[in-house]
Amino acid sequence: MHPKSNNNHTQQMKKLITIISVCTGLWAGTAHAQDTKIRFFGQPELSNYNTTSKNYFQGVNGMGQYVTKDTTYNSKTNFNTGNYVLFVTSQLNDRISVLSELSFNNKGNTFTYEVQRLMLRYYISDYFSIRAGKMFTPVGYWNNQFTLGLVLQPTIQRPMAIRPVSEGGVLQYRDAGIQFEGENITKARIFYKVLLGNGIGYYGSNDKNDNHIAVTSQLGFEPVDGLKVLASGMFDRIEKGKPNPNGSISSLPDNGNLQLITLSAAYMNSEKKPEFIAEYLNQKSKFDNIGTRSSSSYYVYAGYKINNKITPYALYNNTKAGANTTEGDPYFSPIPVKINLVTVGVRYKFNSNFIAKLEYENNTEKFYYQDIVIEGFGKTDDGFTNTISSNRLRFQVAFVF
Amino acid sequence: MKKILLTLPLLVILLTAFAPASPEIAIIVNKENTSDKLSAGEVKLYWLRKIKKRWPDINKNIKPVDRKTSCSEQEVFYAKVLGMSASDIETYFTQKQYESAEKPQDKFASDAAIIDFVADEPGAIGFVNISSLSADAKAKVKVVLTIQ
Repeated sequence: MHPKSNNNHTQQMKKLITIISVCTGLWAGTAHAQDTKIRFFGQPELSNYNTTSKNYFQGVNGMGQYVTKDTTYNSKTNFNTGNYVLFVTSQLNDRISVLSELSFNNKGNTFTYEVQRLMLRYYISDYFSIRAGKMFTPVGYWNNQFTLGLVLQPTIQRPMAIRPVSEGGVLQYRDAGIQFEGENITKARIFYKVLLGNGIGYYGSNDKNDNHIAVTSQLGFEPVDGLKVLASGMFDRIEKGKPNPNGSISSLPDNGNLQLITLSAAYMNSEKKPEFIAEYLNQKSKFDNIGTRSSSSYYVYAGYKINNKITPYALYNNTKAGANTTEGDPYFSPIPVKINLVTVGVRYKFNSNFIAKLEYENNTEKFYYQDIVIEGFGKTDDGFTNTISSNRLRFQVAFVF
Repeated sequence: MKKILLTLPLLVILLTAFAPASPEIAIIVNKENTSDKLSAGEVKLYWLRKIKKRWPDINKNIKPVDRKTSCSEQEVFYAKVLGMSASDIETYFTQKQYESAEKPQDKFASDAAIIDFVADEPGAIGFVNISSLSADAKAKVKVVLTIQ
């Protein structure tokens, strides 16, 4: 092993040991009150992944040839340990509770861990409570319900529309800040959340160095048990020169404002057989000089509990970055892209702590390249499209104890 | 043949008579709680902390109390009051805990332990076999509903 790598590994292990020691200390300090609950989520997975990439050129390629079609195939089968999550909550007194969520993963030869959430909640009344720390961003329905506790999530993979950066998406699914919230207001059971957070690009880290506060708010109601209808919005500042969230562009070309609006409806009631979630997201990047670029996405999830063990389900997701095939959205994807994702699967509930899921996923991503400039050949007028389609069969067991 | 036909209904009646009957359970709250009577629907909403997280008058955190392991009292409570399976209830509380750091139900091994806990905690609500409510126990907690 390289000495530097060894040193990094040792430092990582030291940090990990420190975190575990602190967690253990906190637990030992409060466990006597019997109000500390420790859970451990795990979600190992077996996956078979087949990708077909098709390039349709309508100009010249790097070799000076006119190529109409270029297809490559890739296939892999692998075991994935997934995230292991140490989840601790404690009721400190009648009104104050704390939550910490620490995830562990093994990517390549690197062992990684991350503080996903670390927050304190002060409960004043049913209509008003305050959270402070690092928490889920109150965007949409799915993001606040499932995330890393996959034993609770109805599918293996999140819809493309709301995937976090680490999974190829752009959603800032958690943030550090302070949140005001309330629920069960009137008979319509109205709920609201307002988060003042660090915003884009910081993902809850403490090294924020701009002067902007992101505002994310959510308003909804639950007229029938399990049926939630809600709208949410995120408003933040885009900064020139910063990378976009998924790293597809290293330096954003302009300053601007970001506006993300979501509309959601969900019917998830454990006592009823049908399950349904639908969400629509519209994002506008309002740049100061280059104008407004927008992206939109929606998904529909439906499942049906045949009995208390077996639930077949399906998920359809459509995402469009950029207003048309010639104008991308630098914040989401500088190259215009259309994504179609279809997932069908079945969930088997052994019990509340142990669930298996088998899932087939077909994903098609079509990128529209324009005005490609090739050295020595000048600018091609027509550009080309690149279509990547992938089929994936996944089996996952998710557990909590 | 005739004998068999006569014996079968008799056998069914005998088996039914000796089958263990569902126990009668009492829903209990702390003496400080101002609620005197609750319907099964209200008990469900409070126990699951669905509509309210705090008791209306005493303004204390609602603390649902459960049995640690499966027992006939728990089966009656889950089926007749909550209308949910044990698995669904566990998932429900895990979800609440995961989403908003809400504390899941406290679990105890015996009726006596539940009575002691409810007597000590102003916000507690639990269920016990009605036969466990001795005069001494009745002095410590308040019965708001009984379920046959």
